[in-house]
Amino acid sequence: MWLPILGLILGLALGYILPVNIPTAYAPYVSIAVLAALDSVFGGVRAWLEKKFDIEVFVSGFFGNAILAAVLAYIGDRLDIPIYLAAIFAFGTRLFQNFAIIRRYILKSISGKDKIED
Amino acid sequence: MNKKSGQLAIMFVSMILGIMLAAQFKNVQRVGGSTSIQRAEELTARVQKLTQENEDLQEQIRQFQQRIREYEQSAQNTGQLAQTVENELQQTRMLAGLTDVEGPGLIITVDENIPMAIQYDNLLTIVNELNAAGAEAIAINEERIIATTEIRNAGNHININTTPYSPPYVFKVIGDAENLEKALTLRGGVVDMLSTYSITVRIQKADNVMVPKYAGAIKFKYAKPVPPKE
Repeated sequence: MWLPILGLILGLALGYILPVNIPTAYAPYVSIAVLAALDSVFGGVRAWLEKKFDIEVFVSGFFGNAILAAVLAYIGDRLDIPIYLAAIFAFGTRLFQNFAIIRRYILKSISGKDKIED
Repeated sequence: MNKKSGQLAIMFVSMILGIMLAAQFKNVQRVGGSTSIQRAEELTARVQKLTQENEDLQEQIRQFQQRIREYEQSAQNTGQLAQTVENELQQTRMLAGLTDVEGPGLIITVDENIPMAIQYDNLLTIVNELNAAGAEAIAINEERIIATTEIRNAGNHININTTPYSPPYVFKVIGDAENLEKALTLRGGVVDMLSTYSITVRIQKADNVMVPKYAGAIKFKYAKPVPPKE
């Protein structure tokens, strides 16, 4: 359970130390990709708690969603269609849903009682 | 599925997520988010425009200095001529709207009772009436109306001399106050017409109205004077 958080902290430290600079023109697409990645991680944690975790689904979802979201946002910008709104909406909604389920699992494991049905 | 390797995969992926988050965070701190990118683009455009205008003005200054030198030389020869030219220049500058002028006239405040009631043609109509009634100098919200002045809708604003304005519009007019006022307020005239569009026009007479000079640069890129034929 602590490995993801450890990885996140490690990544944050690495990203902060390494001279990774995103060109200003691509910053909006990276932000969409970050959202998609965030969603994938929450989805992964949820699947892991549900014991349905599949490493291939997880890794392909992480990279696939991030890249697809960024590319769609880019194409949307070229065509003047705000596709990034769809990405924000879809990933944002799922992120909160996944977090709600994770929360219930954690509460359940703490109290030992069945709290899945709110 | 092996539990250990699954956890390692999550760890690896969240590490990448961490790197992305940190990179994005640094970027936002450096640039300041997407709103400031827009702002920067806007400001860049403004700077380019101003730089161009500045160059034009520099060029104008050089031309004027050149002319001053010429006049000074001829003034040494004939003081009379220089005086005449000086007067003529002053007259021309006044006509072109390149000097502040003051005199008796009107201060007219045009405001709207409902949003977006005032359109550019309402202002043009007033300017037109004032000119017809013998106005010698007109400024709207301190923008001098000159030969090349445009008054046009631009989004929710009205651009005057390329500067956007919103209501109320304050006209400063120099001329025969009595005549000007009558020209506007005659029955069925401009003020009557505008009041039907929920636009209020308040007219004040003033003994001394200051009309500012045109603040931009006048440049002729295509037009050239034709020498008079004998």
